Amino acid sequence: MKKQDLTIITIAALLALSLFILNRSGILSPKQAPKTQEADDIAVTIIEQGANSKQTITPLPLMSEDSKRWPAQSYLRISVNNRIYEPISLAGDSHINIRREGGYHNEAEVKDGIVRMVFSTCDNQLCVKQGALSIQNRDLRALYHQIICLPNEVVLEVLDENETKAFFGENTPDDAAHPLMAPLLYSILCLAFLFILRLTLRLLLGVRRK
Amino acid sequence: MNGKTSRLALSAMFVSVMMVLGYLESLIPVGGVPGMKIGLANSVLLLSLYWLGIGISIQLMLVKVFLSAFMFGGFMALPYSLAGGVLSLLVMIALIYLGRGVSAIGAGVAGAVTHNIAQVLVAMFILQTNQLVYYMAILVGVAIVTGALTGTVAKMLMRYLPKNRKELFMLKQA
Repeated sequence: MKKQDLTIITIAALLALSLFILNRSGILSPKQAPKTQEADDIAVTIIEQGANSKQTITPLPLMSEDSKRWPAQSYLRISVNNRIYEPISLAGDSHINIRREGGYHNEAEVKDGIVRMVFSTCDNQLCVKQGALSIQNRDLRALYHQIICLPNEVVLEVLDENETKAFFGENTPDDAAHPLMAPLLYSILCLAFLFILRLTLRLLLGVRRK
Repeated sequence: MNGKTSRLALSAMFVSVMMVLGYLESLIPVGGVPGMKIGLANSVLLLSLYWLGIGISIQLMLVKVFLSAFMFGGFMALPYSLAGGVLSLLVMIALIYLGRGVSAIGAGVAGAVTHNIAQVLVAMFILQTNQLVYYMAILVGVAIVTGALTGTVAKMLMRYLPKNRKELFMLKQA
C-alpha cells in the first residue's frame, strides 16, 4: 500500500460522500412533471382491492382533475419506458398491472402502504428480489425510494407528500421546510468521518508522512 | 515468456479464469441489488495488465464481456458491462503506466469505482433519470472495499510475475 493508493481511496470516498450530499440536498429532485405524450402501447391497470373496481390510469396530462387521490402520506409514482403516470395513494391496497407491447409484463402490489414487485417477465428478476418498499424503510434501502426493473424499463418510486406535490401539483411546497441546515450538517458529519477514516487507515497500514 | 504461443496460452487461461470467477460471483445472492459484486475477475485483469501488457488486456476485457453475455444470457446487461469494462480498464491503464507510485491496490480501487460509475451512468441514460445518484454513492462506497480486495489479490498474485515484468513495475515503484 503506497501513499498514492491512500490518495485514490480518499478521492473515491470524497466522491461517494459528495454524491450522497448531492442526493440529500434535493437539488436533483425534479421540480415539475415533464410533458408526456399518450402511449398506445402501454397499459397500466390498477385493481383496487375491496372496491373491486378496475381502472386504467393514463399518462400525466390527464391527472390534474383527479384530486381525490391526494389525502395520503405517501404516493407511488410509476414510470414505464420514461413515461410517468399519475401518482397512486399508498393508503389503500391495490394490485397494479403494467403491460407493454413486446411481451413486457410487470405486476406490483400495494398492501398496508408497502409496495412490492410481485411478478416480472424479465430474465434476472432483480426487481422482484428488491423486496418491500415503503415510506418508512426507504432511507435504509440501497436503491433508496425506487424499485427498478431495468429490462422492462419500469421504475416504481415512493414519494412523500411534499415531493408528490412538488412534482405533480400546481402549488410548490414551502422551501422553509428544507433549509440549508441538513446539507451543512451532512457535510460536517462526512468530513469528520473522512478524517477518522484517514486516521484509521494510517494507523492500520502504517503509512506515515515523510 | 517469449513467443506468441505462450502468450496465447496465457491469455486463454486468463480469459477462462475470468469467466469462471464471473460465473461464481453471479451465484452469490446480494438481495436483488444490481451491480453489487466483488469483481474478482478484475484482479485477473489487473494481473494481465502487469504481465501481458496493454494490448492483450484490452482484448481480454472485450472477450470476457462478450463471452459472458453470450454464455450466461445477459444481453440486457451488455451495454452496462461494456461501458464499465472499457472505462475501468482505461483508468487502470492510465494509473499503472502513467501514475507514479500507484500499486495494484490503488489501481484496483480506481478501476472498481469507475466501473460502477459507468454502469450507473448508463442506467441513468437509459431510464432518463437523475434519481440514481444515491445508488451511485452507495456503489462507489462498496467499490472502495471490493477494489481494495481485488487489488490485494492481484498484488499477492504478482509474486508469480516473470522476472522481466517484475523489474518493469516493482522496481519502478519501490
